[in-house]
Amino acid sequence: MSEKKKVLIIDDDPDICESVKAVLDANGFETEVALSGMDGLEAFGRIKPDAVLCDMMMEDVDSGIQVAKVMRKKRGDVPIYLLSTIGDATAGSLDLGGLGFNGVFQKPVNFDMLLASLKRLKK
Amino acid sequence: MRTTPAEIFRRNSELESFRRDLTSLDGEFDFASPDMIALGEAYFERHPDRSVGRDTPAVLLGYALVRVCVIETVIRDLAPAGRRFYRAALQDVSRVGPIIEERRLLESPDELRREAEAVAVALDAIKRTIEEIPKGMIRERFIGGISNLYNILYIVKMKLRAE
Repeated sequence: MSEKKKVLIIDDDPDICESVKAVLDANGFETEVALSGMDGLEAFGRIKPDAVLCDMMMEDVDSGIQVAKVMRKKRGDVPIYLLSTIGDATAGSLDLGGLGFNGVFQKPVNFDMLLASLKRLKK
Repeated sequence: MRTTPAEIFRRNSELESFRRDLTSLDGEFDFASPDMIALGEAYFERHPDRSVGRDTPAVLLGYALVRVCVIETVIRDLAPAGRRFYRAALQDVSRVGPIIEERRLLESPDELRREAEAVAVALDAIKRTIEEIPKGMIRERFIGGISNLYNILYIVKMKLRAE
């Protein structure tokens, strides 16, 4: 069984998925990407990730919220982070916890912070 | 008066013809926040956004248009080899490793690191300009577009550190 932490990246922009995957893979994570909320939910059940990075706007402007709510019902213990362009002020006004997220990483992602957060997670 | 990205987009709604015409300017176009807004307006006239059942190919086109403009701006002051590298690598993350390996044979690590820093400075300047755009979907496309270039630059720097 792999000792690497598994991270599921859900974003409808394949370029973002590829580049985030490249950074995480190079830093010792096992990653899976999904290009839609629906595909993300399928992958969530299949790979049982240790953490999820999820874009907000995909099929719908609030797809990320819909996806996080379903994941929370299935597994309440998995950290789900929003990857977003919404800006700090808007993020600060949202009840991220109530929406199912453990936190938000604004795009452009600060990878030093993201990697530090992911490395702290328990396998 | 110089050609603007918005004018080019109005003439070329396809990504590849937009890229060809913009690239032919060799970075000699204006890209201040009014130029960004004008490009966004031209794009949204053609591809209006909606909150449910979004048109993903149109959304991705928006990000791609932004990336073409940003790449051509950040490489403007680089030497020819650097321009070729960043023009290719910032469009396709899989090109980063192989091209860095080739360039390492010809150029010093310090030169490559200085070049990456110059790109980072230019990228930060464009990000500050994007932050002048009022909140909304035009700004969203620009943030989404530039984000991937930051991701790829992070990978470039990571590979340059790994010697």
